[in-house]
Amino acid sequence: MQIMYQSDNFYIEKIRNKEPAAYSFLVDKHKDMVFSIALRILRNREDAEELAQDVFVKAYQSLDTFKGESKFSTWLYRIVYNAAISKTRKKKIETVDLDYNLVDNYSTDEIKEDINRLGYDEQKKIVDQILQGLNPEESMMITLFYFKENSTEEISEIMGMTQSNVKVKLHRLRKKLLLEVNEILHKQNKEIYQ
Amino acid sequence: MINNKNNTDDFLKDFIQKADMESPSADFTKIVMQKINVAAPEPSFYQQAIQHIKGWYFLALTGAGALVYTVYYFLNQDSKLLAEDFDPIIFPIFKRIFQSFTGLFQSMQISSFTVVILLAIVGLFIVDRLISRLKTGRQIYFSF
Repeated sequence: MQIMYQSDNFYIEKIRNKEPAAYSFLVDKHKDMVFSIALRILRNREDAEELAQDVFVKAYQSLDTFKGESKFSTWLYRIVYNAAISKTRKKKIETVDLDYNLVDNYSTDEIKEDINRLGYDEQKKIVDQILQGLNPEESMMITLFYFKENSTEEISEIMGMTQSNVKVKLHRLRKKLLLEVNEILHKQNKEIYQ
Repeated sequence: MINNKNNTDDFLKDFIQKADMESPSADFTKIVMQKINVAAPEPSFYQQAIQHIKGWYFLALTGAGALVYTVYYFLNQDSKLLAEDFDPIIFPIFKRIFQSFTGLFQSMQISSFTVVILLAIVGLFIVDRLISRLKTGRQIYFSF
C-alpha cells in the first residue's frame, strides 16, 4: 500500500512543536533511499542497515541545525554519504576502474536495441552487475541522478563538489555505463554462440 | 549533441531503474524510534527568550545608559572606584572624558535602585545567551 506523505517540512514543524513521534514518518519516507545509498557504498546489508539507523538518529539530534535552506532529503543524503564514505575509508572496498577513454565504437541506439531484446529479469541482472562494479562515488551519483532524479545542483550540494565537477563526472559515468553494458552484452553473445 | 545526451540519459534512467530501490528490514523505523527515545535527547530548537530586534536595541541602550550613569555617579562622588594610583595614564583620560559630560547629567537624577534594575536586565541578556549556548552546545550566539 502506497502511503501518501506530507511534505518534509510538515513533519519537521511537528517535531519542533514537541511531537517527536512525527519523525517516524520522515524515517519511513526516506529509509529506502538512505539505506540504498549506504548499501551501494558499503556493499554489506548489515553494515548498511546499522549505518542508516545511526544516520537517522544523528539527523534527529541535529534537526536544530537544519535551517531549511536546502531540501531535507538533500541534507539527509549528505549525512549518509559522508558517514558511509568515512566508513569505507576504514574498510577499503575493491572496485575495478575501467578505461574511460576507450573508443566509442558503439551507439546508444544499438545498445538500447540489444537491451530491449532481453527480458526484465535479465536486464535487472545486468544493472545489478554494473552497480556492483562501481566505486562509492559513482554509485552515489547513479543513485541520485538516475533513481532519485536529483539535479546536478543538488548532487553537488550532497556530495560536496562543484556543479561543473558533477557534470564532468556524470559525463564520464554515462560513457562508463554504456561501455559496461556493451561489454556484458558482447560477453553474453559470445557465450551463446560458443 | 544535447539530444544525444538526453537520449542516453533517458535510456540509462529507464534501464538503471530496473534495479529496485533496496529496503531495510521491516522493523527499521521501530528500531530508529527506539534508539531516539533511548539514546537521543529531544532535538533542541533554540528559541530566544527575547525575540525581537527592537527589544535588544532597547536593552543595549539601557545597558549602555546604566553603565555611563554608574561611572558618572562614582566620578562625582569622588569615590575611588577605579585605582587611579596604579593607573596614571589611562585613568586620567577616561576621567577627562566623563568629566566632559558633567554639565549634561547635572540635572538628571536616577536612584541607585534603577541602576540595579537596568544592570539586572543586561545580566539577563547574558544569562539567556549562556543558557542557549549550554542547550545547543555551540558557540555563544549573539546574532539577532
